[in-house]
Parts: sequence; C-alpha cells; structure tokens
Amino acid sequence: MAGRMDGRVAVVSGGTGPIGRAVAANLAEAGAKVAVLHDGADAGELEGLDALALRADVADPEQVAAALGEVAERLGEVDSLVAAASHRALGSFLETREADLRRCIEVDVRGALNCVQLVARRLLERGAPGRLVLLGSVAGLRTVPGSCPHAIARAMTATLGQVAAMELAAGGITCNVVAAGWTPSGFLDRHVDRELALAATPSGRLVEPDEVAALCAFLLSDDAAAVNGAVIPVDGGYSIAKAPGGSPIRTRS
Amino acid sequence: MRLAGKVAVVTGAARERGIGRGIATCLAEEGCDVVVNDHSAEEEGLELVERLREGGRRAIWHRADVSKREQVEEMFERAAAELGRPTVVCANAGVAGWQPVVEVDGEQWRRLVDINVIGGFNVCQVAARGMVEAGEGGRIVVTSSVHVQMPFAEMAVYGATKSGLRAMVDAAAVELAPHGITVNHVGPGWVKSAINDPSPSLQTEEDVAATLAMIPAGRAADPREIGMAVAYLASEDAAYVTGEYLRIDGGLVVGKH
Repeated sequence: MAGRMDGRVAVVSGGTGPIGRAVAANLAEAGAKVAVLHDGADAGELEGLDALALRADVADPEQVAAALGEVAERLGEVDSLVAAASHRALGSFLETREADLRRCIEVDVRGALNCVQLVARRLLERGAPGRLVLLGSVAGLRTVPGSCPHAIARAMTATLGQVAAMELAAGGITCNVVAAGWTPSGFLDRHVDRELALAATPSGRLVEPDEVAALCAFLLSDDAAAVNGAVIPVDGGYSIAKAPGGSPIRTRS
Repeated sequence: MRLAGKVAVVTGAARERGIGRGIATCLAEEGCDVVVNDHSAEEEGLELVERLREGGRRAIWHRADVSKREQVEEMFERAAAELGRPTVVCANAGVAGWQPVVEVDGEQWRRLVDINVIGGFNVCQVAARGMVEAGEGGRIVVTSSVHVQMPFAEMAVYGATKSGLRAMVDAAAVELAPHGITVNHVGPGWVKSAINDPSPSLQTEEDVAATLAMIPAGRAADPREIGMAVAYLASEDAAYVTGEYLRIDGGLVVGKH
C-alpha cells in the first residue's frame, strides 16, 4: 500500500522524547525514511523504531551538520524536518535561573534554527521543495505560570518558524509550528498536576503524542502545501481556556 | 507631574534618536529621577544626564552590560544608594541584526539573545526581586516590538528575541500582580534610531518611501511618543494595566497590507 510519505526522507530531532518518537514512528509507517537526532539520554526509547538514530547536540551547528551529512549519505537528501528537541526547564519568573533560560533557548530555539538552516540550505542548493515543522508549545502562546524559561523559548520558536516560512516560501519550502498541549510523559508525571491540567483543557483529557505526530505528518504532506507560517495548537482547547484552579505546573525550578 | 519623587532605571538610554532616551526624558518630565544606563555611548549618556539635571531632576549615568548579571545587580545597588530604590524600571536595551534565516551566524545569535532576552530577563528579574522585597509595588515596562505580532524577513532572531520577552512579560505580570507590581511591554514601530541605521530596507530614499507606505500614519515615531506611553504605564493611571502590550506604531500592524 502506498504511504503518503513514500520516497520522502525525514529528520526528527528530539527523537527520544514521547512526541519525537511518535512523529518518527508515524512518518516511518507512512513510508518515509526517517532519521532521529537524539542527545544520548533515553536512547533505549528508540528500540523498535524503524529509523536511523544519530547522536547530536542540536545546539551545536557542527554536530547537526555532521549528522545531516550522514543522513543524506545513508538515506538520501532530507526533504522533511520535525524539530522537536526541547530542554524544558521549569521555574517561576522570579526563581528562573539564567543558566536554565540559556539552555532552554540553546536547545529549543538555536537547535531548531540549526536544523532549519542545515536542511533548508541543502534544499535550496538543489532547488528542491521541502517541509519544515518546529515543535512549539501552548506555553509559548498563553501563560502557564511556573514554566517561564520554557515559555520564553517556545514563544521564540514560533516567531523563528514564521520568519523562516516567509523567507523560504519562494524556494518551495514551508515552515509551520505545532504548539503541543499537555501530553502524557514522565515529565508530566513529575512536574504537572494532572487534575488541574485536565480541568483547564476543554476536551478534558491529555493529548496523545500520536495526535501531535498526526498534525506534524499532515504538515509534512502534500495536502498541507498551502499551509505556511502557521502556529497551530494541538491541545484539546487549552490555549483558549482559563485555568480555573491555577497553574498545573507544580514543581518550580 | 504623575511620577514626582520616583526613581527610574532605563536601560539602553544613552543614544541620541534612541527610544531609551525618549523614555528617560518623558519619565524625567513626569518627575522621575533617572538612572541612565547604556553599555556604550558614554558621551551621549552624560549629555542626557546633564539635560535631565538642568530640568531639575537627579540623574546618574551608569555603564552596565545588561547581559552580565553581576553588572545589572551592581546597577540596582548603586541606584538605590545614590537616588533611592527604583520603582519604575524600563528594560529597553536591545540590539538588532539582519541576516536571512539560512545565514544567521553564531555571532549574531549570541549578541541578540544575550542582550535582548538574557539582558531583558536580568533587568526585569533583579528589579522585580527588589520590588517584591520592598513590598511597595512597582512598574516594569519592557520594550518589545511590532515584531511580536508582525515578524519581518531577515530578522528571525530579532523577532524571536522580542517574542521571548513577550512571554516573559506575561509570566511576570501574572506572578507579580499580587505584589502590586505591573509588567507591560510597548511595541514601537519604526523609530529613526541608530539601531535601525543598518537596516537593509532603509538605505535609499526609495526604501524609506516604501517603509513609510506601510505605515498608515505616514511617518516614523518620535522616541518621545514611546516615552509618553511608558510614562502612562509607569503612572498611577495604569495601576490596573498589567500583562498588556501597547503598540506605538502609527497603525503599522493593523495597516498591514
């Protein structure tokens, strides 16, 4: 059966996180050749995934360049990117440590920028179209007290994606941002009051990583050729609702 | 005068034609004593201090790089020691850069992130901690940009840094409201400040005409027009305004076409 990603080569950064892994699995199932970039932590999560796994610190352009060169060599030229790597440090505004803010910005924003640059340059050189998706967060769209450094980084990511969309459109490349809501993860278990998160989500449930992956996959597909520079929440309505019980973030810094 | 007896810190305030100078000037006219901060342009900073003093205010020049935490802390300590505890803080220092997304280099990345985001964060957090400790409320105003709603090509990093500040303002506003501290940001459109001199889209008369054509008001803003908006946000009139974004752009964003 022909998949809608047949013949495509996709790179997913942050591939060991629940969302990155779900994206990689979705794309592989749809027929894409997939490479995941990961930081070495939780590499066991990649077991059973039909993907080339490469270790790289996305904040370092040289490591990203080396990894993408290897992907091109082994799988073919990359035409699709989902930049999902995130440092996700928490903290109230008053308690946020400068070092945590810096690391969030380096991994989330510089990491996305490095991936966009290195994928887009190769696409532009070849005159080939491409599809880029940056993973953002509802924390970048609305205030989630306790997530200050993460929110700053994710808000930055959204604007980065919009400008990339503007500049790369002439080359047949689209760039969109997916703002994920609360997804089940170890991170959620450790740092989020699940009841409060659900109370603040009109749909009344968490968002499955597969659902975030499905939106990413749509944006990478030909069906989404006219979607560009969009920041799309997949959050069960969290971004439009008021949190009645306060911030779901329960662990500060 | 709406701000008589208050002490203000304005970062990035020295340069002629700059927004920070407009803010410092308007705050002083409303009665503030002012710390004029910049990381450079000392001569212009001293000249501004002199002018503010001639207007009857106390003012001091303080060179500090806002991206260096310890320098920001020293600035607030000195402000408190020489003028009194600052209750009006304007995180205005910022730098711009123009590079296509695929060409943004590490040097530009670091400069813009360090000064705009880390610098803005340092100034706001150090200010807020002092205000919370003193328990007498306060006003924090951040200079963001129309970019938070309308990003421009070749300014991905600049636009991103300003959106980061927007998210910080939102978080800070929620957290500091119970302390009587408001946190807002102002979004200037085009100001003929030195920061915009290198703009590739402002180099010829035709460029300037094209930029003006995007602005319904048909002109650039005077830095004082930003300053007057900040003075309002710093005043008692705006005690219930927090987490807000006030554009001063001559209709640029709504007139986008």
